Amino acid sequence: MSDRRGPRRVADRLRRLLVVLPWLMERGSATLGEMSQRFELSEAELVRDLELAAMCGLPPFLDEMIDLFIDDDGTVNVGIPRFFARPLRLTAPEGFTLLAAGRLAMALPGAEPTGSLGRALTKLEVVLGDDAMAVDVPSPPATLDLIGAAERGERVQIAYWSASSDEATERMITPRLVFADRGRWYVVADDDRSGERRRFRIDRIASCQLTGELVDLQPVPEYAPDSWFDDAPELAVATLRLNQSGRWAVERLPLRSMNDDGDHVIVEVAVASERWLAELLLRLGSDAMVLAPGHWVDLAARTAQALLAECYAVTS
Amino acid sequence: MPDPLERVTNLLALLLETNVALTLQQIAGELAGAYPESSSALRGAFERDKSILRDIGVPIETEVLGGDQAGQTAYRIDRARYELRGLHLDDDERHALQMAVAAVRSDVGQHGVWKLGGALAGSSVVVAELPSLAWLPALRIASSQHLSVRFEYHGTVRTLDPYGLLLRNGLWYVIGLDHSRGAVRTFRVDRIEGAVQTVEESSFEAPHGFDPRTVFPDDPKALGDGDTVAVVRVDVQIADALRRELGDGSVVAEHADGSVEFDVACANLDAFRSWLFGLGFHAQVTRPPEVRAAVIAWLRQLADGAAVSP
Repeated sequence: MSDRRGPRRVADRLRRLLVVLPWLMERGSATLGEMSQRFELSEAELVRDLELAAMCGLPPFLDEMIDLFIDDDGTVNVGIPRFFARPLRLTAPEGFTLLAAGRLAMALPGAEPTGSLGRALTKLEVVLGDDAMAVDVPSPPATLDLIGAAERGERVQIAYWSASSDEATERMITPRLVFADRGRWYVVADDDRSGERRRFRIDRIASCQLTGELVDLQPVPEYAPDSWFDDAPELAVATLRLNQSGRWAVERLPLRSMNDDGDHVIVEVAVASERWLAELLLRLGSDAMVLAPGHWVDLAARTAQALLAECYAVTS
Repeated sequence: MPDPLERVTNLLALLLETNVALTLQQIAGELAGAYPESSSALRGAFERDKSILRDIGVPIETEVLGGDQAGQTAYRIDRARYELRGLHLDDDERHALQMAVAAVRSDVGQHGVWKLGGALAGSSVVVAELPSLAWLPALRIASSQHLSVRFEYHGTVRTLDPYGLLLRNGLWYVIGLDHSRGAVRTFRVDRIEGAVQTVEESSFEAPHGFDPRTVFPDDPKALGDGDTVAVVRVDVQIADALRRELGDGSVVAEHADGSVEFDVACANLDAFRSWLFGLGFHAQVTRPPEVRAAVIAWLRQLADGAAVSP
């Protein structure tokens, strides 16, 4: 038996059917093409489930329950609605997500505080109950321009400081996607300098100049924050041992593996650059220790010595 | 084998249609042929269907019968509780919600949008961070209905009047009156252990106009006792970036070599140090002396290789 017949799959099909039917009943008819696009189902899946719905029925109104037929030209028609004319109420997770997503969108750069979104949220609150939910998404000033540029396909001139290489560069980029991850904002852009698609931390963009030069829009890149470093499989990996007070770092690191014995956490992290690792070790202090590779075991000590000498004129 | 969707759809229609709650035997009788005949197989199949309906949010009411059916459980669905009512969105409002959901890439949100009559929005060029955690909907409802909640946190059971929720820097917090502490406390929702339980028949009043944002400062470096401020000097390479981050008002001095000194909150020394080291060799703390001394001591400890066996 394939998993398409398992309980999970049935729940998904029913969930979808219960949004398709009320929508269809309100309209009277619609084409399979339109419905397929709207509800993210293939036409074959739609036909299968709609035909099945048409067969459903309870005695004594066997023919009246869901009265629908599909024309040769792919138009779906419904008769008098009896069942499922209205959608199922919002579940608690759906209600939560709509409210939270709406408030988050309100807090994004460029959002208008009094617009259709604000009115929609007010109406939702009436149905779902008012609450004190606040969403804070501070973003660097360049974010708004970069979003606009990604929407239009506009090229942008930026000055960028890269922490991993510790150099400032001038670059011409075409933003494709702007995203937040763990409280930081990034832009994914086609970068002229490297000829590649790269991620840039927006708070490290020192200046951002719209050029007015438009290029072709492309499909929005996949959003995959968990695979931050997947496009660089050649990255080195360091094994760290963290004690309990250093655990906070676990959530913020590109982990390759993690092992928790209760007292310590042993993690393997992808290391973008030695500088990045050194900075991390400085922040963690005695909460972290490098177990491998050998040449990084004393990296924290070496970095601390250099920093003391260079910035604080102290030699140890 | 008949398609299982057919049976569960019929069951849903039956329970919506019936005026009186039906027992399992009555249900099996009405949906003749749909369920297996043996009573254990019937029970198993019915439980699976019921859990599918619960999964998608269908509110099934159960009652235990009396009289000659004493002890039997009966089922029905109250249409008023099943149907989405009272929400009439205009097209532009629906579209705005659609776009908001597209920006958080949420399947659950998309189901909600469909119920409201919206379509699948195209992909948005912005992806905002909306972590979904199992207990958030329950916390929101408790907060909205002024019900206390109980959960385990760091190994201790807490009872909380949830005044509100806050999403900040990609993390969800619940803020409210902690009964055992008798004070307002903030909890990270992802650190809640086990289940969040609503305390029945509880009730609370949140402070008038409560705003979760005011409870803790948005700058973690200022999150601590007092209002200590340190002066940090950064070199020309990152001076502009820091000026944007901290604002012109934080500039204390500008030097001929292009380096700039800034006032930086450091009530929370850990957060301050973390931030400072993030600037690498481009920054040094210049005063007050005790903060400078603390940073130097931290570095010395590391430099001396004291970071052994954490």
